Amino acid sequence: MRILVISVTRNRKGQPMRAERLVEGEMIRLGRGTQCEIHLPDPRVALFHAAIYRQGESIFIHAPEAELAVDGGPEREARLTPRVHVTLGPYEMTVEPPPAGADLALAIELVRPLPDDLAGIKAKSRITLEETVLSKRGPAWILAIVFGLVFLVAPVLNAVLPMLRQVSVKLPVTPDQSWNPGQLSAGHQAFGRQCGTCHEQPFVHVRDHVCIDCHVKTPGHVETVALQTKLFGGTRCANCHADHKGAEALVRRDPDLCATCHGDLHRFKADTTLANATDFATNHPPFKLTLWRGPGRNDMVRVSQTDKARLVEQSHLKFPHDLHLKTSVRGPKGRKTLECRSCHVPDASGKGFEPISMNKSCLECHTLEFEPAVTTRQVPHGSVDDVMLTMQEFYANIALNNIPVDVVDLGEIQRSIPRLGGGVITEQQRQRALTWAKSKAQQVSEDLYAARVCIVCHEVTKAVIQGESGNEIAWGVVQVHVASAWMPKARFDHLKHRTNKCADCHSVETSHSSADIAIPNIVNCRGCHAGNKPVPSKVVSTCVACHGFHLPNHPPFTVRDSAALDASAAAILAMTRKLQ
Amino acid sequence: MRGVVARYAAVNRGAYSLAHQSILAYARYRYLKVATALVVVSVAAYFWDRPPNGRYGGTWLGYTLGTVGALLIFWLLYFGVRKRRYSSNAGMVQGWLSAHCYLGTTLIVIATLHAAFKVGWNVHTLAYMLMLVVIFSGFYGVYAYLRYPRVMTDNLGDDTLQMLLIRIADLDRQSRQLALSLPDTINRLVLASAQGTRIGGPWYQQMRGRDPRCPTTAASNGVQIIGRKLSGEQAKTNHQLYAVLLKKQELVARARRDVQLKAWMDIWLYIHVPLSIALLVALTIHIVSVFFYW
Repeated sequence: MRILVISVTRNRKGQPMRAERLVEGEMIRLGRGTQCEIHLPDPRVALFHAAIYRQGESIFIHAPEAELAVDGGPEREARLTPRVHVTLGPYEMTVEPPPAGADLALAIELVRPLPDDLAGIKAKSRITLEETVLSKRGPAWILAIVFGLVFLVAPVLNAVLPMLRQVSVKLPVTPDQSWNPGQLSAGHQAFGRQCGTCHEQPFVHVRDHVCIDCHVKTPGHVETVALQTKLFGGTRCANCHADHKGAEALVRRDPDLCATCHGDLHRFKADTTLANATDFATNHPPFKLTLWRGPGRNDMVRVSQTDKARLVEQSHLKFPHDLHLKTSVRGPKGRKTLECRSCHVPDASGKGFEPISMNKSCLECHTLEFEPAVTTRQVPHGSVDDVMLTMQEFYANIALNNIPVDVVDLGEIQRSIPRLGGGVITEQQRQRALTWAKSKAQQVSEDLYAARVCIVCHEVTKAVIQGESGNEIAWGVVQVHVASAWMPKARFDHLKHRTNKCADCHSVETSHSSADIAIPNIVNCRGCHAGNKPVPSKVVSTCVACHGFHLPNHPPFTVRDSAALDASAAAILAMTRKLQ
Repeated sequence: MRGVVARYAAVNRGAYSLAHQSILAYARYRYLKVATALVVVSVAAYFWDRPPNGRYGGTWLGYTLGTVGALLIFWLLYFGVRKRRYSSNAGMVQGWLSAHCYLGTTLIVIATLHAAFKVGWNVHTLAYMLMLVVIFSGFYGVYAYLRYPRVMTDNLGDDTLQMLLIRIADLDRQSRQLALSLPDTINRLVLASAQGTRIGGPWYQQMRGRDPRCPTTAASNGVQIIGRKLSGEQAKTNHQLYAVLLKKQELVARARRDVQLKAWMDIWLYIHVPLSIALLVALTIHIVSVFFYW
């Protein structure tokens, strides 16, 4: 099918001008779309508006989904014969007699050009948000500038200008408060508004000396400075003590920290005598006890609880627990049954016990009477010289006064003391009485030390020395070393264990020697204490349950060489000073 | 042959929807897979890692997650720059947009894990909250971009808003011509309708999608009521005028609906874009501040 398309336009005078072209095809499409063979470029025409096709000898136009007007009436379809007028949107098409070589001639003219009202409605309408008061750029700039000033410029100025800090610290909110990532530990909150207290230099880690300025006596972890420096020289305080993590979260309590080294101590010190430990339940050596061996006061040895042969207490005190814990022990005030707490009195904290003293715990039963006939006088406990002096004074008093000073049963004493008679005594009489008193004291001391009193509990020594009146016997008592803590490298809080009975851990009922040590072993503790991992009906116990890191009596950490650290910081510090 | 023509018309109309592919399904959900992998790895690492001082942004994993998150944010912001460069082809932009949506969503997880679920009144949480608002406004954006173009197509069909305006203007001209021979009252209503009808307006008007004091509605109502008193040729013309005004009313409603849909489709950008810039600033401050006070 061949169609001659005649495009009609009008010149200024309104005269028609015709441009012809030939289109060919089975189906000739009309529409706004450029794919259409007859292209009608007007917005009021559909993309694909209509099509012309041949059926038999006739030619039809068909608009399946658009409007057509054929000779003034609305139609979907029309047969195209000469002089038929088809209106398609603003276009008018007239069928003309076809010339030779064409099946159809179609004159097309735009009869209704776009109206001018369009400009009017466009001017009145705002059809996108971009034309409204809304803006993306404006708020973006405002927020960027406000945030920049409030959260960057103000804190930085506050950090580098001390004068500003003096003022800002009095404000309810400091400029750099917005930088605080979390609550400080309770102890640091007092100066928490002054970030520069710890954060001395921009872009430099908090340095150790800042911590040590206050925590000046915090002891280190190992005995020697050299080893301390070797092991911990590269560790900052803040590596373990990270602040801004809540009021109570400044101390590390995780077993992993300890296990880092204690899992393989030989890696750090080849000749260490310490055994490895990572978990109380599964990997912890037997307890070692600290025992006194003398002769010096601090001459201690560490003995493993598995080393039974050496696990002997050398207190130089005779104390059989079994005798004392018998029911119904005879005492001066009658019979009584002793309990643990009769002697072991908790100290004020409740964690440990008051030291046991002769006067408080023993004297009630173990009286120190030296003269069997006189039950009311005792020698003082503690000093050999005082003992002798007390006895001499006692016997001299009896001799010189010729009367009992105390309510005493003189009996035998009265028969043996020199009779001085009444009135003023002579020098000779006085010397005789004194000599008698000294000799009597010496005589009694033999009985006191070696037979009846001291030797009951103590190891007694006897030496002959040259005195004023010939050879004298000098009695002595071996210094007693009663241990107060067998495991000083661990913490133990008796108060926390008060729900247990003493005997749960300390089996002393059958102990008849003070050489026995009644400290529970690790098996006993593991009965209630689990290790790092929870176990039913046991208490999770990590390293820090018993052990501390900063061990008492150890030298404090040395501050890391700060010169090297400061090399980069110095430049920044100089820059901030310049700004000031 | 008529059937061929009708089928051609149907295919022609449906051609666009056949070629259209959701940004979410781009490349067979390639970026959904990438994002899921990123989230799974992050969560696994978070629970695997048990840092001694507790989980926070300053552990090695905290720094890692923070770095990944920050790089993602910078990259997603770069999308805004990238999108404006039309030298690349459209398929690339679609891929970028798909990645933008999915990887942006992963930030909810990555940044939350970086912060270890801790918040406070500080610039760090400010950046975090800005990020969340940006992401959730982006979620709305995805919803809008998936839903509204279809609704807009249903509303407009083959037309464009520009064409509707042209046709409205055309009807204005027709209605004014018809009203010329009608009483003054009708003529005034028609003139007001032609001169006073507006599409859109301020942002809230655009979003509302209708004008309760629309002169066209008033005119068509008025023409119908007043027209009952007319007779003869005038009644016939008035009837034609009423038909024109009804047609205009329908076109105006469709135009307003189009503006409304477009406004609902774009409104989130007025949150998403400025807060993205604010986030960029807050994030930069966050990074500077944590190392300033190291």
